[in-house]
Amino acid sequence: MIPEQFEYFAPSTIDEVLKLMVENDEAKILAGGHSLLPMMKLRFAEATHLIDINGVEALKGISDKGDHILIGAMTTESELIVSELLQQKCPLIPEAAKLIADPQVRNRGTIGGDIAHGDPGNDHPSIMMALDAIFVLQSPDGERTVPANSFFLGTYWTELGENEILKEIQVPVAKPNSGYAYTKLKRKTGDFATAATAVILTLDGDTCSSISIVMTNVGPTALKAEEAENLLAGKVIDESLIEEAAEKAMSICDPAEDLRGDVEYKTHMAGEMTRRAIRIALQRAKGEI
Amino acid sequence: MKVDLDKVFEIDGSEKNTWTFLQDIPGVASCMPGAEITEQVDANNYKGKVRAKVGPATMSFEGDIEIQEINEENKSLHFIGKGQDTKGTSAAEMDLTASVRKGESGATELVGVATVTVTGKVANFGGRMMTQVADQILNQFGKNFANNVVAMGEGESAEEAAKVVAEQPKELNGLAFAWSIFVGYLKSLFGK
Amino acid sequence: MSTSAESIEREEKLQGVGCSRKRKEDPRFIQGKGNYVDDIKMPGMLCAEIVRSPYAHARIISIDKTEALALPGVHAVLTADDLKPLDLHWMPTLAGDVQAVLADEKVVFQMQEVAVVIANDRYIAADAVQLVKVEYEPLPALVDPHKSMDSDAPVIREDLIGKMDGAHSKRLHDNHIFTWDVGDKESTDQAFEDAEVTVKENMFYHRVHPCPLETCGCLASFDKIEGKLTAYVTSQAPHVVRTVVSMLSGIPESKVRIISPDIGGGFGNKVPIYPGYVTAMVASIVLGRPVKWVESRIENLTTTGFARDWHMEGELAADNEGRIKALRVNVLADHGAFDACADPSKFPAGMFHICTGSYDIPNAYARVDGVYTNKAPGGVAYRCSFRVTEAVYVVERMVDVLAQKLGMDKAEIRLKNFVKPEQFPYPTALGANLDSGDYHTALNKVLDAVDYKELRKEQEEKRANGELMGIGIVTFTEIVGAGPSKSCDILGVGMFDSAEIRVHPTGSALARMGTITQGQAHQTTYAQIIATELGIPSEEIQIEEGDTDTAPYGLGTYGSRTTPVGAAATAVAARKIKAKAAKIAAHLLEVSDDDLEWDVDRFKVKGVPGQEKTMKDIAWAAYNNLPEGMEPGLEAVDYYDPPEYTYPFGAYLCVVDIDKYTGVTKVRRFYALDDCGTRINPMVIEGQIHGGLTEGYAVAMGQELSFDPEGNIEGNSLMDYFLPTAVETPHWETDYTVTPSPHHPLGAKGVAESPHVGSIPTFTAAVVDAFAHLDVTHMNMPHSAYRVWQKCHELGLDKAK
Repeated sequence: MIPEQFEYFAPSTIDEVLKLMVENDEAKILAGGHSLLPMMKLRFAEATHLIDINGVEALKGISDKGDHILIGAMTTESELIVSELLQQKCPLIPEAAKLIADPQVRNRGTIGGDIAHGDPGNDHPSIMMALDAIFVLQSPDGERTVPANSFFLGTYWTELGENEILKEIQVPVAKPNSGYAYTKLKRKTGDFATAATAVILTLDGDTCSSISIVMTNVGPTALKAEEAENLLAGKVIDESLIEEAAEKAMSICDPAEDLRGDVEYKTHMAGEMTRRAIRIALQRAKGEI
Repeated sequence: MKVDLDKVFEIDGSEKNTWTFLQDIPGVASCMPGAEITEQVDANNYKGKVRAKVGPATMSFEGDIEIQEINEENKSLHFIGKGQDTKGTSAAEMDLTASVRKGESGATELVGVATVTVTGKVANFGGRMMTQVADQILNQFGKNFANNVVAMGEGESAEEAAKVVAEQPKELNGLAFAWSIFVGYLKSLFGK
Repeated sequence: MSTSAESIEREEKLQGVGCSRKRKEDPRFIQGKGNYVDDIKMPGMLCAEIVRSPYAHARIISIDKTEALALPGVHAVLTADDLKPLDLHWMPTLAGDVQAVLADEKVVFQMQEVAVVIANDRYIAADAVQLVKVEYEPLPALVDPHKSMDSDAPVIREDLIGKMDGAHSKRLHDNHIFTWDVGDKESTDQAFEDAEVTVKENMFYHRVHPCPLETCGCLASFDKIEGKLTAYVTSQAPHVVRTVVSMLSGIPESKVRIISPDIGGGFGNKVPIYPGYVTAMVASIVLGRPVKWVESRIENLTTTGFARDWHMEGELAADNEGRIKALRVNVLADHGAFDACADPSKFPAGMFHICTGSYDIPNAYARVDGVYTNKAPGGVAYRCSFRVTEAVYVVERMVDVLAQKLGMDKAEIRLKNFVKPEQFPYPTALGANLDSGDYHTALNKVLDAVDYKELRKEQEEKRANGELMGIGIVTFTEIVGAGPSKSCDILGVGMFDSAEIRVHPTGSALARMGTITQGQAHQTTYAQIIATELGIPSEEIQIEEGDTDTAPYGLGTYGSRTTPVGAAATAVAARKIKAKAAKIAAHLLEVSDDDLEWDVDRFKVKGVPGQEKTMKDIAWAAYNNLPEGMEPGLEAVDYYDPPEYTYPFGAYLCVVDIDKYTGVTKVRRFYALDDCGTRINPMVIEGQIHGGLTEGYAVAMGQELSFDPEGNIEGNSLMDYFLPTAVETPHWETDYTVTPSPHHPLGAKGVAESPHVGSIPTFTAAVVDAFAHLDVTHMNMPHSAYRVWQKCHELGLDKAK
């Protein structure tokens, strides 16, 4: 479990990072390292040049921008969990971050690394898609923004271009009368989700005015259950509607069989996590919990 | 672990051209992202290598391809490729039958039925991604193959395709093409 | 006793038997000052890394070392061909088979050792490993043991073709290893024919791995001038390693020194001798420099010492009242590609004959057939005494199955069939001789503690509501302390153990044992035994183990044998010293030794207050003032050959709640009552029980090494392999009774394995019990959410509300 030799860089500014990326074709960005380093040790990943961006202060921090919150890509999971700003204005993120791996991993692992890796097993993609977050990407050609909902293209494939990094994330603050939930089924501490679902919904009286439902690890990317969303939006959600929505969510699942379970189990778990997430989000929106 | 793959690619070209190209083993191999034929040993045996890059992971395989059967009548080709990764920790075998047919819509179709068997580290630790990644690799193969056949024809689209073929990515790389468009195309094809 | 309060105070100061003395080992471990194999560095040390097979079954066509040898810093690449001239390319296993040190012409399991690279450091070695080019011709992999004996099955062991006289019995097929059976088949079959009720169940005790936190490793250093081989090895049995190394290498045993330093958990994984150890030693001999090999976590889980992998068919015959008349068990044992089970040599199925459990079963018969498959070798006693987990599992499961068939309560059927206290010592139908026990008291204590009747009532209500709640009960009997040398040996060496105690002139003591601690707190508890026997404070007794140059010969620590055997040797050695001390005291006090009485830490002249000599006084005199003709010094050695095994037992109860929509099983309550006879250190016992229960929970609920049809191992990293953290681990409630062993000098029985052996079937019992009202009689482990959900789904229980 020893990686091949690599050259290590520890830049402190975004410009330096981009310059190093341009200069070194095969360079890999090291954020928290909890996906990349095991792959390097298994010698699946050949990082001839490793650019450690943990020293880039401009990529860190959580700030209040009024209608949205700006999160630096190198903000750790632990920092997300303890952020009072997020707890008050975007509580879905700390709730989900708590369910990621274990404390040691959360102390190193970053929101940006989790997103940019493009692993369908990661949790933040679903959260970001459910929140309608916007990713700010930076390359030597400048800055551009990509909505979370069009960022993830396939397993390990994202919109991130060559020599481009994820700089920060804009997440809208929670609306009044809204509820949220992230329900995650995993085998044990530190595991990827067998299935998980993020839900955000807003109520207008008893009626659901908007809802987003996104599932983790049951397809090549996080999956937005649009039909289920369309079914519930504009309606008074009850158990039978929740059941129908869960069925619709299950119908788009395309999970890979592994030791966590077969396609049938994972699909059913995605359905069950969806039921539970909708119920919790609904209760929260109503102020019941 | 074994992965069964069934693929149908619609080809914007004649059955004849498609079948001709299918028998060009080095040409077909070059459609596989990162693959190339390095040596033709005899009429039915080739040596080749493939380098697949998926996210941060890279795997290089070297091995042999043996043509089992070329069936003119059915326009089908059956070959077995066997290889080991260059680090000696994994091995893969692909048993593939590819054939050309006229589809229900009247268009030419390339039909691939393959069983991929992997052993070693890739199976132990890459299993979670195997099917999805194989799918992605094959889809790119289908796209490249189709372009090659189109390029054999005449006219503007052939010239366009020839240009694309010349720029064909040398290894599987998610950044090299618009995946989302392709996914949509495939979904419409299989009604998935 | 003159002043009892005063003597109690003195006794407390000794911190002897029965005292929850804090572990002496912990300060260094907690401060990171442990000294493990990988901590040891030697000048000029080289590192070894192993080239491994990606195939489960393949012929080796060629091995090309050129590129690897060309890498700067690489000293050697060894293959089977290089070891052949030394006759070291194969080695004997503990089970009477041979195992390839480096693959000889064929690989027979995935990640088998094919070549070893020796380089300046492990970084260069790891780079060189992938430069060794091995050409393979793949062969069909045999993964399912049920197909091992098929006529068209691929032959795994070509070296054994035609050799049909196996180590333990005739071999029936090229892939057959042995048939072992025990009991009276005829009377058992008859009892089944005559029975009013019979039940039968197939169960698979899956392949798991002990997964100690420290992986296996070896640092070997051959001194060419002295001709002496020193090796630091992660071994639970250093003396056995020394003997085997001497036999294999031809180096006189006096010039082989094996040292087991601190060991980060063994659990049976560190009993066998592995190719990595052998290649490090050979490389050091060849190169004349120290060579270190330490395996990675993946190598550990994949290639060294798995456990279990038994396919069992259990049957019980009984009358309509639930009285058991006979037990019949048939086992298909998957031993992988080499039979490297770590059992006493004459016991290919270990102590499986304990499978009649705690019950008075008049007729029994058990048969085990071992077969080869294309999987890694092993079959170690994972926190268990040689297949006792399997034995307890099958009988406890079958008793539940019988209870369900008869509609009887699962506690009641046990109380009805227990061996009664007055029946001890009780000879079982399969030849065990249970030394002591009080099973009724133990179970009743547990039932009262948890209010069993109330729990069953709650379960009824839950069932009526469509909720799944299960109550598992297990009443196990273990067999530990291998073992009496009349039947137990390892490669011909009897399974005694030893202690050597030296009392220094100023009254402190040094003791060395043939066992070796891997977390069991020997430094703490051995000292307590000597403290009580000799009246020397524990704090003044130094315990040393693990260095074969200094420790007396012993068979090591596994199978819960330290207390039954090693502690007995310690007590007997101490008593030899005490007997001599009595003579010295009598001499000093000018009385006959009959006039003396022992009081905590001193001999007193009966009826004469003030006339006394402390052990300290006696120790001093032992070196300068002895009775006429007595040799100086105060020390003793004892090699203790146990007359019998000991039989710890317990009663466990587990309550689970199952989420029928996800299959997640929550252990609500686990109550464990253990009886290990005399308790040497209650705190250490408590720790052992917590550890054993947690490992049992891991095995029952998640750990598994599975294989796909191509022979690829699955789950061989900690991403998948389940090691419970504080988050997953249930809360444990512990309790005890004390029924001393009549034949052990201290009455102690051993405890470390009981919680593992006993808890695993308890979890299964609880999970199955949750479905018992739906006619489910058995579910195979591990009871992961995925598996449990499949049962819920099959029964239609997961339909939305």
